[in-house]
Amino acid sequence: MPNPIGFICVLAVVLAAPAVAHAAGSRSVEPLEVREVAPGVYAHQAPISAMDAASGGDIGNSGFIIGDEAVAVIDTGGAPIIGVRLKKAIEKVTDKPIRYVINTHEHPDHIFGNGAFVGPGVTFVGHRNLPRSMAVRGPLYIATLRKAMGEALIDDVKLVPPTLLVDIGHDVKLDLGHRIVDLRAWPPMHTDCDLTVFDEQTKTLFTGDLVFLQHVPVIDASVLGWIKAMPQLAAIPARLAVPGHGPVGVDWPQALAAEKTYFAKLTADLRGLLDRGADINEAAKTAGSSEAGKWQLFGIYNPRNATAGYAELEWK
Amino acid sequence: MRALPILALAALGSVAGSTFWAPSAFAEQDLWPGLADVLYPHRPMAQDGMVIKLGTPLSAEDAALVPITLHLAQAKGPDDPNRITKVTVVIDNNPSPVAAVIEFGPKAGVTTLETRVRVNQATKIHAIAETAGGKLYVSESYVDAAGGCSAPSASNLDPNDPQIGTIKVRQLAPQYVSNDPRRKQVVVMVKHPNNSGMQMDPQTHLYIPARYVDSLKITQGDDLLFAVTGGISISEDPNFRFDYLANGSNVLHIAGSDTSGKKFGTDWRLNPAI
Repeated sequence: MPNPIGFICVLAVVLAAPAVAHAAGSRSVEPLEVREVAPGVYAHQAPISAMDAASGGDIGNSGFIIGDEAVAVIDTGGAPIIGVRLKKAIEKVTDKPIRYVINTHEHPDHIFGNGAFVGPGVTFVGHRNLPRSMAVRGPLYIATLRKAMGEALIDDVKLVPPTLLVDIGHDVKLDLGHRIVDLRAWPPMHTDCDLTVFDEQTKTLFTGDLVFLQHVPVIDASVLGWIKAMPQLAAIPARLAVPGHGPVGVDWPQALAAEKTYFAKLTADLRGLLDRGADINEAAKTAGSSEAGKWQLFGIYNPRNATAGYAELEWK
Repeated sequence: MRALPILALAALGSVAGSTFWAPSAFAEQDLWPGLADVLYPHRPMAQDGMVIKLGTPLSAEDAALVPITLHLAQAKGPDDPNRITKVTVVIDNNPSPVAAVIEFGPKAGVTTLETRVRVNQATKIHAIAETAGGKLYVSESYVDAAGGCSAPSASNLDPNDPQIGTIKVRQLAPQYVSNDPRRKQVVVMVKHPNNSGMQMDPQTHLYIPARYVDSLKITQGDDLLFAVTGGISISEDPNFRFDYLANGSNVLHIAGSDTSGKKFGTDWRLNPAI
């Protein structure tokens, strides 16, 4: 006679399996696709998209650097599940422990996966201003994106602020074991908490959103600050760059050329509009429009850049 | 009804420091009937685009900086009973809905006034005009705010930027204003972060109290153009672009204060050639 209890147990396990996989978060998920852009340096190239339900939160590039002793993660994607998948991709390549999670700035597409990496021995790293930005804007991002992307993607988001902070003018060097990673904090450019990550060994630079390729640049702090700091950024002796959005492992500093042109045209248009007394609504409709064919998501972000840029240049 | 006292506080508590910049719990409801009743109990409001028309973009390009424009009927004179004496701007779904109350001087002659507001989420915006004769008129608009963040960037201030309270006036060239030589147009700009009060000090983990421009008064010579009582919904660096009827004085007196008690002001000498 078959054991009825055994049968029931098997059934129960089968029924429970999807729930367990969901709760554990990493059982059934696919590792995020990554490419080794330089020895020991991996990058994930996210599709270019707005943060919507269809994107699944995978719109910002991320990556990791493996030293002899430990791993540093750079950005964690725009949803908890993307963070989980990135962690899975790291575990596929190395069994060395993740010691640092570096956020290049405050935007949700780069930090919403942080929760996947919380654990003993993991230090979160960011710009001096990042904790404040997370506190001020994080709850609003969650509320807005819950509507735009759906509860399933957003409900588990944990805002994990950095505890190791980088000040402007004082680079922090992380030692991953015979591998030094240089972290630099920047004045207001894309945001007021931008951080770059430079692997000295392979001369690979993770720029965060200080570099946009194909995806139109988004100006959330200061276009004039961005233009002003660009020579300093270009002077970083990198060979390859991983931008915040667009193709990864691109030549440096050539990667800066396209956005440099965009900023020049946008600000020239804005100055012209201000000089002849045009209002901010006209600026939103026209400034920068000659760049339209060159960028994706231009219709969403260029009017925003023009609006904020008008307000900034009005004071100059 | 449980929600009413909260609404009343939000509307009348004049945006005082206790209001956190957080998503409204009432986001999905139409808040306007309740707000209207709190602001102007049992007062009928007419809709007439020839008296007041509120212009807004369809969607907020930058949620922290949404331009809104009031188009106002021109009064026949200081004693015209239809002269608009006061306009209240209400952003229904913001945590503190009353964005600004603007009181106009009898001889101001303002017919357009543009300013910039924060929009926390998709919302109706209302502008209510009160006439000297005691009538109310309302104009309604809807602004979508799909992406974006209305919270200010925390440390946007460049150390080389002007100090808090610095005022700048831009005079706009007359060909963009009117054929009437007395009609002038200017932009009055105030450097001020207009903090929302939701910012946490990373060292102490205490909230930094709200600090925003709560009053701004602009006169030409002795004649009031307008006085604004503002709240946290006014964008960083408050900005007022408006036309007016010049009275012959070439000086704009601008005086303001913020919630931390700082007073600022200037006597701005206008270029009479513009």
